[in-house]
Amino acid sequence: MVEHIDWDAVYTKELPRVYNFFLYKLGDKEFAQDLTATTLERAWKLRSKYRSAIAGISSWLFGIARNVLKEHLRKNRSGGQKLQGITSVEEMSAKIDVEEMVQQQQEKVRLHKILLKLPDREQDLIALKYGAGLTNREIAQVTGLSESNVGSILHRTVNNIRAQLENDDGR
Amino acid sequence: MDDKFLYQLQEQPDAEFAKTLHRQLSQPQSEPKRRFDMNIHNLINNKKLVQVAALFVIAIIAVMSISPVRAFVASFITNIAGQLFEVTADYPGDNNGEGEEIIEPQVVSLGDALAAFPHNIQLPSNIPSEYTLDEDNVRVYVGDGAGPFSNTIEFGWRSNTQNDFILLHITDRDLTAIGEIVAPNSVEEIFLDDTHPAVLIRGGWNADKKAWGDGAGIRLRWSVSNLFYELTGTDQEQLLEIAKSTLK
Repeated sequence: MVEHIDWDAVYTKELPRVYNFFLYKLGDKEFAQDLTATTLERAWKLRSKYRSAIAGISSWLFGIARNVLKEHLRKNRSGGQKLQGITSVEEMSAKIDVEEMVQQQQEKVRLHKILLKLPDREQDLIALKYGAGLTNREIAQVTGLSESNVGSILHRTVNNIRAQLENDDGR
Repeated sequence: MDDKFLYQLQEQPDAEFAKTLHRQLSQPQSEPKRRFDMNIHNLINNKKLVQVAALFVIAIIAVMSISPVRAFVASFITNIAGQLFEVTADYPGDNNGEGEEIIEPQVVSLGDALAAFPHNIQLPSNIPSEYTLDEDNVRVYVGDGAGPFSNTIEFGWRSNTQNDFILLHITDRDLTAIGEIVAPNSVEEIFLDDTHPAVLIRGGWNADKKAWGDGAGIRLRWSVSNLFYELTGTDQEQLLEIAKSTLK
């Protein structure tokens, strides 16, 4: 039996999460948009197969998103990842002091460079947690890891990222 | 754990993008085709459709009985190592999968994939030492949910030294009769041993350049015990060695 999904509500809630998942993983807005569109189109076509008893809508959607990402990486393996400014200077509020704005921008670029160098699994967990805003339980469902394992890997990874940022500051 | 700094990369998707995508998804053509609703009973009841189909079959038979026409058609269909190919230097047509139902594979460990796959598989024993099994990309299509892809298993090995990937695709779907469209001189028969012919397919259609090219790499396809194996990579000798090792 096909379950009723309020697609508009899903779209409104999940679009920014899926988009940010890809943005954290790839650091490129255009790719993030393309892959978000592919994920949501695929989810729409597969919606009759969704069963809430098996997975929450977010877990199901991010399962599709991860497959879309893997296909993208497989096709573009030789292209490498390009790092694009997460938010262009023009897009930021004009009220912010220019120096502060530049500093914020530099900090984001540094952070993103660190994320892109993380091992795949850690990068995945960071993108799902801080990009998509999933809970540890949802991440566990999406990745097949245990919830406690997700928690400890994230803890270790966050400490590692912070240490790298502090090292950069100390130079 | 102070982790707030990690949220700073979040941003809202572009409003225009969000609006356009929403519009696309809301359009009626985004609905998967309702072709599965048309069962045999409905088709037979559709008299007009049956009449058109009958006329079409008669016309085909009439045309094919004219020998020059038959020869013309046959010259474009070739049988290589027991597999049919349609050879053309021209545009083979788009195959962007539009309107087709997308089947999601199960992504599992190789052990689980082999356990789920309903056939015994001869795994290659001779993988080049610089390649490692990509455990994160083992895909298996089994059961009714996999639709036309059932039963298929796909996995590969990633080079530790360069950007190369060797993909192995195994299926029980009959690949001999699909009549894959290929470029002239891109397919050849090659023997893995005395009794196992294989087909080597070089390159493919480059949709961006609208031309045949080498970008798609090399594919080696053979069959054993009603299973079809297809290796994709860039090095012909390497693929041959891997394929031969599945026969030992």
